[in-house]
Amino acid sequence: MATCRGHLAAGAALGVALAAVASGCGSSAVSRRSGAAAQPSPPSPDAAVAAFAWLRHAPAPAGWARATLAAGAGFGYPPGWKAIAGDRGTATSARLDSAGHFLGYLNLTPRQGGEQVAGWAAFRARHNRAEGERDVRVEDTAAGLRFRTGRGTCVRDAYTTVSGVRYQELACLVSGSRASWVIVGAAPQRSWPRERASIETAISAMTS
Amino acid sequence: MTARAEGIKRRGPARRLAVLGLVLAALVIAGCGSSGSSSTSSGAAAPSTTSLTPAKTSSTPAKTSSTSEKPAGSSSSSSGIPQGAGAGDGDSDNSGGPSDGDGNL
Repeated sequence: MATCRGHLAAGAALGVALAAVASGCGSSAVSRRSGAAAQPSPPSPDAAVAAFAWLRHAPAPAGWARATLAAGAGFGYPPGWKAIAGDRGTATSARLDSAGHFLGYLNLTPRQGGEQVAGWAAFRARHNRAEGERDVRVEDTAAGLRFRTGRGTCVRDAYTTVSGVRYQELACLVSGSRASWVIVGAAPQRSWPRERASIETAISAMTS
Repeated sequence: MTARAEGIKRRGPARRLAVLGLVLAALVIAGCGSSGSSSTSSGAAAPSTTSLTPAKTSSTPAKTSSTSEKPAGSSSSSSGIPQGAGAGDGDSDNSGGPSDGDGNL
């Protein structure tokens, strides 16, 4: 009788173990699989955001000049563009027509304090309005974009300056390992189709 | 050998089996627990890496300026860049050009 109880106890213990294997782990694995199926696989940031698919985080083409800040951040700009004066501690290059009007514009500025990844598009639009720009229109924005040396949040917008010129703008807040930067590319709407590729390439080539 | 001693001897393998079973059960439970937590953490980390927010927002200007110059000393933050065209602010939008990346005015 005692022997029989011993075998029963052993059988029960083994049964518990087998049940745990069959039900406990089985349900955990199913849950993980179903969890994986329910979670959409995270798309590659720069592949998923079509409006910013031009962002290829590639070096500037050969023959481009380079604008560099003291802290080491910089961007390339194409032949026909030239460095122009801007705020101290920033880098600006532009393509100008014979009368000195802007045809294309690039600027790199260290983050000044108020810029945030969250709400970057709204911040930029608000800032442009406060600068006196009219008809500020945010067209696209995306976060988590991969740059050559960091991640960025970009906005594409348009505005009309106090001089009445309608500009198309790309503005990105890029966070590197040590600091954050704002890179802006813009061109009057009439020259945007021609300058757009250069501006996008310059932003793509930015390093921090 | 007495019947009692024989009984103890017969129960020996059964007890060992029982102990083995309990150890197996404990190991299985412990293993399941760890895999469950890793599943949770991977699931939580997955979706929030990218966001796309097409805004398509249009708005009217909050402020329209009729002058191309900004007032000197108009900074409202701790920027190191002096603000206002007369204070060393080299932003081209002071003269109707495009806006630079300075988050201040």
